[in-house]
Amino acid sequence: MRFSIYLTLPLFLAGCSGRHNWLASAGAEADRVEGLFWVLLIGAAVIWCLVIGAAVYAHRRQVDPSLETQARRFIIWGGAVFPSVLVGTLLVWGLVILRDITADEGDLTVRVDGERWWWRVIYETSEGDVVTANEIRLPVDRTALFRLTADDVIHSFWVPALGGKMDMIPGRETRLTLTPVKTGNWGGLCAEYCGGAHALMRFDAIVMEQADFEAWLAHEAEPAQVAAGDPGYTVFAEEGCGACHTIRGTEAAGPVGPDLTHLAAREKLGAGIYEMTPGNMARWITETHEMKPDIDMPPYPDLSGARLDRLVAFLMSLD
Amino acid sequence: MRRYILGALAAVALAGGAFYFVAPYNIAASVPHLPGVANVLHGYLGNAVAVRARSVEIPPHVDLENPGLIRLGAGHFATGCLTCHGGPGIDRNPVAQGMRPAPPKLTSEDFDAKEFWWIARHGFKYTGMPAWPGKSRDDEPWAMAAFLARYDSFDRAGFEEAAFGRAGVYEPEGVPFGAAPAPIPQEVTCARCHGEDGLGRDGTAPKLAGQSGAWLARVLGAYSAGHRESGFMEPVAAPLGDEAIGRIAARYAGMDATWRGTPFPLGDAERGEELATQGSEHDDIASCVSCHGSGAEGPKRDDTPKIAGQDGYWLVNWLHMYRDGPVPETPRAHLMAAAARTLSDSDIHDLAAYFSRGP
Repeated sequence: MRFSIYLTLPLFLAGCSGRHNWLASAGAEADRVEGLFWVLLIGAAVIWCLVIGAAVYAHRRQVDPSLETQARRFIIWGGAVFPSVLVGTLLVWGLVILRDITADEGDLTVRVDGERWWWRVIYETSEGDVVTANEIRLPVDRTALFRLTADDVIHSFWVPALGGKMDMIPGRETRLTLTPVKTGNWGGLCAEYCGGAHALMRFDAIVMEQADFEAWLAHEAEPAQVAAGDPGYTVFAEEGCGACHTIRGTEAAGPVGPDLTHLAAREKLGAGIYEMTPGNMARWITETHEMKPDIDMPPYPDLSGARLDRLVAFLMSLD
Repeated sequence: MRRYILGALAAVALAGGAFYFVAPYNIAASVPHLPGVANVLHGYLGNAVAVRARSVEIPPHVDLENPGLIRLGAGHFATGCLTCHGGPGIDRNPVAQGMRPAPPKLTSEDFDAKEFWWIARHGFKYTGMPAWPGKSRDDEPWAMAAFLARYDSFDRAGFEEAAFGRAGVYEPEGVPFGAAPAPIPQEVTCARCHGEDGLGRDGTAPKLAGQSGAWLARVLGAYSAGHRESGFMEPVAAPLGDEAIGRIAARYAGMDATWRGTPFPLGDAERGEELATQGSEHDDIASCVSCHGSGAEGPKRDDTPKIAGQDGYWLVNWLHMYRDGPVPETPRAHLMAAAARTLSDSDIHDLAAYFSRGP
């Protein structure tokens, strides 16, 4: 009976499983932090036992004045010198990790700009910047250097399974490296409260084999294939969507919202929160603020019927 | 002791009740105030205006010397003020003179421009002086301030010319209430501010000529139904039915759409062009031309207004309206509100400088 309570512990640990699990060992940086975590956890447990043991021992023992000098020395070494050295060592260790995971070098560079409440993602390539949004793809076993900025308020960039987190601060650039070691779709999120839809500011971090990643990035760099007079693009243009959104290869060059050039190739809609389906897309356009409260994009409730269908079909064709 | 207090309170309550029900104080407008009362009330009114006008600031884009603004004030004066206050060389309506206080003949001496703005914006309780009909439009009463500050320089012909575009429109010496007995034709009512050619009489009112009929009908309908606030437009649009709205919209839509640009004295047109055509990533500003079109090509939808060549004064007022309210309650107004939300005052001036340059 007494031990049955421990049997429930795994239920609590279940909260740490899944794609947001920072103990998943999916990234080198997360592993380094995890190493520090275990040392801290086990070390703290051992020290706790020693301190409590010493206290109990001291309580039970008869007072022996002849040992006072020894006891004072024990307090100085055990109570002042040892903790200082230990905490100092841990600080240096932590700072070394911090230095390493914010190193200004990587196999590829990705700029991420925190917006309310989504992520502007820019891959730096030898042929120029490749702009996308709300989904980050990375090659396995390569170190990606993230240059992080924010436009409006402080956000925080975190892919728990891979590493981080790092604050994104308006007017400054912060850095973070991620070296994924396991392929898969790992979840990312904003870890600093940034206003109404903060909890819905997410993204997919998809780790791919090197060759797959390169093919994906090459495709992402291509402009969209939009036929002249595409009926869905006509709706897009007439509704003024291009005032905020860019679709490379068309006249739409708005700088405000997410780049939509390869929108439908993303797994999720609305910054990592909805499946990319035509139904969700239609709702996103017409009931925007029910889908994600407070966001800057205005809803288009008067779009319906064939016009909406054409627009959704067009957007879902942007792969 | 306590008994005396209770007794006194009961006596006061009894007296108050008696006063309330027997109503001995005569509130008849036909009977003058008791000696001194009118002076105290009027003095208090002056103080109340002076105190509140002290914190009023003239917006940077408002030029009280602007003849267009003065004409607009004169035009609205004819709509809303003339009947009670009379005008330069025009008598007050005898009905209004039976009010107490009787609406005074006005003079520029009475108040300064900020005080005139405050009075036009807020009106006076207990006097019959109404507040501004577009109840959140802080920008509009500046036209009244501009006109009233110049009021004494107008004679009757000058006033009629300013207010109606031509002298001799008002025949009766005593101004009528409502439309009777000599209604001004609708064409004159619109044209007196927007011009016979729909080009706004050199900055008196927005240019309408060649604007999309669907847009004009939507806006006029919104003014008529109280879905878009304006102290200028709501009173003249309120009586219009769908048929009249359609006819007026079609008439202005059919006019020559050549809008000459008028320079706007504030703002940086180059930066405005950049904002209007490209938007701003950092400041989350959407490009204007994606919906409104640039100079050469018009708006993409016919329920979107053309703005290239419109007077900067109106562009500034409208952008303030969409940014700070009152946002019109029309189907797509929230799109414009979303676009205006991130604009700073200087962005607005820059955009007005760019678009007012014309196509």
